[in-house]
Order: sequence, then C-alpha cells, then structure tokens
Amino acid sequence: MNYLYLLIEVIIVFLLMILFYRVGKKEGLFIYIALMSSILSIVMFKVFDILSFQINFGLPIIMGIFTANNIIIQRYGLDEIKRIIYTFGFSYILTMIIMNLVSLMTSSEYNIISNNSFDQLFGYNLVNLRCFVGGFISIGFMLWFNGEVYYYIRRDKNKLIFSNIGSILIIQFIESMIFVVICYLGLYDIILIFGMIVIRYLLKVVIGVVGLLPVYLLVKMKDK
Amino acid sequence: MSAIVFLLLIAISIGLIYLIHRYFGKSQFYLIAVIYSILSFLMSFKLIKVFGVNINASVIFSSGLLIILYYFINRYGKSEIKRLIMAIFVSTFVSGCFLMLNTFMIPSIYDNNSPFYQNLVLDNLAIVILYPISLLITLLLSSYCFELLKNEDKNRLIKTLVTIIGLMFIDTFIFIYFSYAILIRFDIAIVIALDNYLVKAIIMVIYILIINKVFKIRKVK
Repeated sequence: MNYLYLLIEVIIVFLLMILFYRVGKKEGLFIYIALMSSILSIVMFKVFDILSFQINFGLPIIMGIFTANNIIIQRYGLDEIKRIIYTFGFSYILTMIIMNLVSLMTSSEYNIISNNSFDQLFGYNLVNLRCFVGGFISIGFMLWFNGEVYYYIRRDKNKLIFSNIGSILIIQFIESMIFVVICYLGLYDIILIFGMIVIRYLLKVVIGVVGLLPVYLLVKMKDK
Repeated sequence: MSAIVFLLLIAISIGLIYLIHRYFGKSQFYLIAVIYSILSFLMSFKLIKVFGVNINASVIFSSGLLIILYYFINRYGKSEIKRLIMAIFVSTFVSGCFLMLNTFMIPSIYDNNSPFYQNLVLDNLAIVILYPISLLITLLLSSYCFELLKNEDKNRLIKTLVTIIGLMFIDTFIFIYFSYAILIRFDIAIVIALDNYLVKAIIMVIYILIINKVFKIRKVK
C-alpha cells in the first residue's frame, strides 16, 4: 500500500510543478520550491518501510525541489542558485519556528488528544529536531552543490538528459548520506543506517528519472 | 507565556508583510502567502487558551492572508488577485493531501510519530474538510468587498472596518462553529465560535489600521 501512496505523491509533486510553471514561469517555480519546502518541514518526521528498510516521508517532495532547481538553472542560469537556497531556507525554517512557537501555547481543555499530538510533533523533540536539521543541511547542500555539478556536466556534454542524470547520481548519494547520518547515527546500528542510505538513494534516483519527463517538457516549453 | 507567544506571532505575521512591502516585491508576497496558508492550515488543528478564551490558533495567519489580499487589491490588478487566491487555495489543498498521505502510510516499527499524525488529522477530519472551503469562500467574498471599497471616497476606513467585521462573522461561523460542533458539542462550539469571532475581528481591525499606514511608507529600491 505504501508503494501506491508513494506513486500518488510522485504524481502530485510533478503535476504541481508543471502547474506552477505554466501559471508563473520562473516565479511560479520559486513559489513551488517555497510550498514544497514548507510542507517538507512538517511531514518528514514519519518513517515507513520500503523493501524492509526505513525511509522518511517526503522523498518525492525533495526530488520535486531538486528538479525545479535543475529547470531554473537550465533555463535561467547559475545566478539563480542563491535565490533558490534563500527561498528554500526561509520557507523551511520559518514554518518550523512558527509551529514550534505554537506548541508552546497553552492548550484548551477541549480537543485534548489533538492538542497533545500537535505539541508532540512540533514541540521540542530531539529526534524530530535532528530530522529537521539533517533535512536543512542535506537539502541546502544538495541545492548549492547541484548547480556546480549540473553546469560542469553541461559544459562537457550539452545534453539535458546527461546533465540531469549525472547530477542525480552524484548529488543524491551525498544528500542521502548527510541526512541519514545526521538524523540517525547513534540511534540505530550501522547496518540499518547503511540500508537507509542505500534505499533512500535508490528511490530518489528512480523518482529523479521519472521526473526527467516534466523537466524535458518544461525546459523545451516556449515562453509566450 | 501563551499571551506573549500569541502577541509575538501577531507581530511576526504583520511584520513580515511590512518587510516584504518595504524591501521586496510582488513575488515575495506570493511566497509568504503560500507559507501563511500552510501555517494557518496546520495551526487550525490546535485549540489554544489565551486571555481566558479558547481560540483556534489559525486566526493569526488566516488574518494575515486577508491582509495580503487587501494589499494586492489596493496595489495590483484583478488578474493578480485571482492568482493569489488560487495560490492560497492550492497550497492549503495540497498540504491537506500530503498530510492525509502521510497519515495513511503504514509506518515502520521504528517510527514514533505515526500515532501523532493520525490523531492530528483523523480526529480533525471536519477541520481538514471545512477549513479549505471556508477559506476559499472568505477570500472570494473579501476580494469582492475590497474591490467595491477601493472605489469609495467617503469614510473608506470605517466602511472597510465594518465590512471586515461582517466577513469575520461568516468565516468564523462556517469554519469554527461547524468544525467544533462536529468535533465537540453544539453548545460548546457556539461559545468557541463567539470567542474566535471576537479575537479575529480585533486582530483584523489592528491589521487594517497598520496596513493603511504601511501603504504610505515608501519602498526601498
């Protein structure tokens, strides 16, 4: 069943990217990155099983941000990297800070279970905090380093597919390592952590390859 | 502590709008509109006690969304207003979809957060359904009213404030009353709805007064 939900997530992420680009072009993609970053900061704490290994929720969202990053670099140049990173960082951090502040407020005597669940999820919690920090560092690094790798590959082989696949294969492995190590080192044993890195990487490569279709559509789309 | 955090969030909500007006442009307004819509939706799951009254935490940033709409109507054209409302509604709807997917995914044995997500979303299904609907209705009604008020010459501020107070009544009773009538009880829901209406109307009046001052401040180029 998780595979079906994952597929639905992938479809939603890439359809939204196409929608935001069609309506807003470059600005639409920046708003898309802000939207995905905000959502990611609140849903990534859940861990589920794929092929008996644990994965955090939100991998298609991360790949959506990564793909939007590639499209912006391809169409508008490397100068946009800073703005992409600021957009991601601002949305991601602001959402979590506000949710953290809200968890400090005294709950009402009504709807107690929901209020407690809210506080447990978004209040101070070391494991969730590590996930949050791990996500921030790994995705920030992914966005920054991807620009350099993408352009380097593109200079050598000016083909859309090589630039995208090359950057996916290199960057996503480093991102997976950074995220899993920051979040789970010391909590689980080495074999489990290794498995988490590998499955996270493989799944992101698959989603990234699926995302090549919207990349191709959007890059080749003529602006009116 | 609750009161301090509540006032701090109000300051952040209107403060960010001021900063975007002063130092940035339209696209950054879309950005904070998207962030505010997600924050407002998530905060709607928590009922807080501030100043002795029970308030739905979403009142702060949903008021911020209406102020961004008011700003857009006074600064930009009709096509921008449609885009803004679509961006806000799509953000809210999509965050609801992702929360539902997150809730239904079968968790790992190592996961501790799944019960919290399930309690948050499944116990508040009325909010998940009613909040986006009430938000869309409020935004459409507000845009219509603010457009009409834009052409008023006499006593424009007083007419705006009266309109806001009327709009908050509709918003509060569609969302707050029906949600808590389903989740808790009808009689308690009426009291919560009235408390929320009072607080939200006060917040909106303060925001409108501040934003009218903000319009006079020049942007930094």
